[in-house]
Amino acid sequence: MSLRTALPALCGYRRIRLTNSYVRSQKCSSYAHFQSCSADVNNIDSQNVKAITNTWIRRLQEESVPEADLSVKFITEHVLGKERTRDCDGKENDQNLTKEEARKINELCLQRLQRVPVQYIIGEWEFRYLTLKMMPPVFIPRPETEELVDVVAKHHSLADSKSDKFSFLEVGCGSGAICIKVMQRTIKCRMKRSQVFRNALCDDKAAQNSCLAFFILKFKDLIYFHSYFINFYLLDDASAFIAAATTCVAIDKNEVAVSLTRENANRCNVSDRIVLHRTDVRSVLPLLGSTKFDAIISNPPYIPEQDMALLQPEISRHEDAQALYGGRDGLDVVKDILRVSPAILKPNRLSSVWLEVDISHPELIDQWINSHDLGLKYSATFNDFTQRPRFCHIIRK
Amino acid sequence: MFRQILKGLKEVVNHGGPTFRRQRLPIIVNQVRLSSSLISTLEPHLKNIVKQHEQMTDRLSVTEGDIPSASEHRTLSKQIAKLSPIVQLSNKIETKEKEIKDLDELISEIGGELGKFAEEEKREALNDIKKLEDELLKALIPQDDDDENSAILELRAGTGGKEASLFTQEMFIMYQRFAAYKKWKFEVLNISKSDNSGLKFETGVHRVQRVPLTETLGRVHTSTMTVAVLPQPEEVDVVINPDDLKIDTFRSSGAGGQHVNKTDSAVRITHLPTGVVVGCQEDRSQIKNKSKALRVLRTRLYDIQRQQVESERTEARRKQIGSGERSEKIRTYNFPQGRVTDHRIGLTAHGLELFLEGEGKLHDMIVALQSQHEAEALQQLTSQYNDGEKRAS
Repeated sequence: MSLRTALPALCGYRRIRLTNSYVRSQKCSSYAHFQSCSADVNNIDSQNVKAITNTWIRRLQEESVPEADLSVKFITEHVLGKERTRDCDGKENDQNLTKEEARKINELCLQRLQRVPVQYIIGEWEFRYLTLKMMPPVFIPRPETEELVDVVAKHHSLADSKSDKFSFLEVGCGSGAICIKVMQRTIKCRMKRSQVFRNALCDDKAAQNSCLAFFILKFKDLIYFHSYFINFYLLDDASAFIAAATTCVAIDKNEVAVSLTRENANRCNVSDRIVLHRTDVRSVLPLLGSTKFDAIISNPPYIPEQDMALLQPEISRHEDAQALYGGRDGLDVVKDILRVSPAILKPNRLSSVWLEVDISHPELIDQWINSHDLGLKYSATFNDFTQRPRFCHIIRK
Repeated sequence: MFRQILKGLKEVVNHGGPTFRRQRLPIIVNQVRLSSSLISTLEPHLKNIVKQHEQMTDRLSVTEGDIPSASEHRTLSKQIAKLSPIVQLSNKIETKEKEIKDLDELISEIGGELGKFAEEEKREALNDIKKLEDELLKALIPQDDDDENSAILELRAGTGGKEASLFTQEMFIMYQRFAAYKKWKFEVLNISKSDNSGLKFETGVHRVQRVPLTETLGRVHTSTMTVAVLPQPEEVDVVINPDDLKIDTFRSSGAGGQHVNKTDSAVRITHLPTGVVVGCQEDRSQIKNKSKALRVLRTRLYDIQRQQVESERTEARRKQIGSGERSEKIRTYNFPQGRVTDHRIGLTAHGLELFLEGEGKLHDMIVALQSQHEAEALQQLTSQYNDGEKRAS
């Protein structure tokens, strides 16, 4: 009896709630539209994804914040998760957010209004296949740099040196993107396929391990493939082999950057292979002692003085200027690195300095090296994905 | 238990009278071979498979001189994995047949009480053979090369405007749930990593009949959406020349590098020789987007290749369901009547809501399609061999 009366009542309640939230979302958007110039954006009290995001996109566009819709998308995805963002997308009249979620989205979008980069707002960003923590004012890795890792790994995979150890110095590690990724990647490239097959069939246990390490990385899904001739009891040694393969020393002037790199290295399980120093490249020599490296890798500050005034507010207001400003011609730090590198590079044919620079720099660097007798030679320029000269390769004479 | 006893006994007999048996051998000429007519028609096919299997295993075990390359190794191991169940089954059948032969000998040798046991044993063995043969038949059904691969599921709204896109969304959720039900990995950008052996029967035009949410007068509308299941090829299956690609990103203008901080990581790739364009913007890393886009491109190119090959073999493939003929309507979702009808096998399932949950009901429908497909494929296989025999004689 009671059920019979309760059911229609419940249905009615639901209908009322639906219309209510629909009206609220309507009111909200018109409110924002008419009063947006003076509106206090905290007043967006809708609890519907579409209503909130649309209001914010319009608001950001009015203030000519770049990438308004993408920014809002990333923020909503950060708060709700990708799956829920997609599920909520279809429904227009539902009250599909909790108060807390709506408040969070509003709060983060408000930061975007002040031109805080999205990467800082959501506290993380992706570099290649890694998700790294981002923290102001540490430099946010750019997509061009993703390719630097490829170029470096490719070159050093050709290594014919007897030892499988590869070590490098990174100058200006920032969030740690480059050094972490290079450590993870070189091992994969260093094992050439032919070598793998030779190793698989020989008796040397170390060689077999390295071979297995390669297989684990390359053919995770094809178990029957490598179980064909290798036993699995070697597995422990194999992971030890991977761990020992690449080591790195990374330096940065900024204390926050050093601790951020440490945290990201921890996240990616490479912290035992990385040594961090808070220092300038000019004063790095005494810290290193007699340590020598196969490579020096850097994405140094390279923006020339006259360009600094033209940067977008996301960069000039929020990112560390020390990680961007490269002096009058943008080459200050580049020159510092090149001056110290002969002293810390191993005397190998493959030892090299890798730099990401401004597209006007490769020529200048080539000239500068030729006019200074440092024992270095400009080897090659590599293009980025926009086909413009971006990466410099310098070797020992 | 009886088997144990008899085995012991058999050994005794074996040891006891080898010469005796050899003498009697010609007398036991009655054919034990009772394999079904289907299997005997397929005998040459089977022999061929066993031979292939042997050759491939030999090739793989080469350790000196001409060592198989990595890609060869991979394809060979894959093929072996595919063939070995067939070979194993036929080996099992052979040993069973031998067993029966031995039992026959035994029966005619000893007779009496023990002979009865032996006969029972023989009956059992015959049953086993039947079962094995059924399994063998199933294994012999020609497999699609891509049944092992992952698949890219492409859902598109067809005619019917907004209603069609709403329906597409519902279908997407259904397949997402189906993937979860099957415990397949499901990646959005419509890339699902799973074996698509079930999903390939979903390819085609799906029709929906209902009163749309957008309809105010209560009329029933008919809309359609299409599903394409594209097998995702291995890297070796489609080789793309990097020079054939034009890659567009938002960064192509301006200074780039440290000068710019943008979050747009969309990538668009144009394959110049074919004009196929793919894009990806799902991820925050540009290189990830690029590799995803390449994966889709590879799949598209593979599909083009496949369709070319397929059209060359249309006759042979005509009976196979759904592949190549995307224009045909395969299924109707009738909301007013709450039913789903598959037009290929004329099967109607009631309980449309449950069907859209993407679990048991969808699974049952796919199983029905699969067995129909298997039956047709088997028929085709046997008719091929029958034709071959006729031609030969």
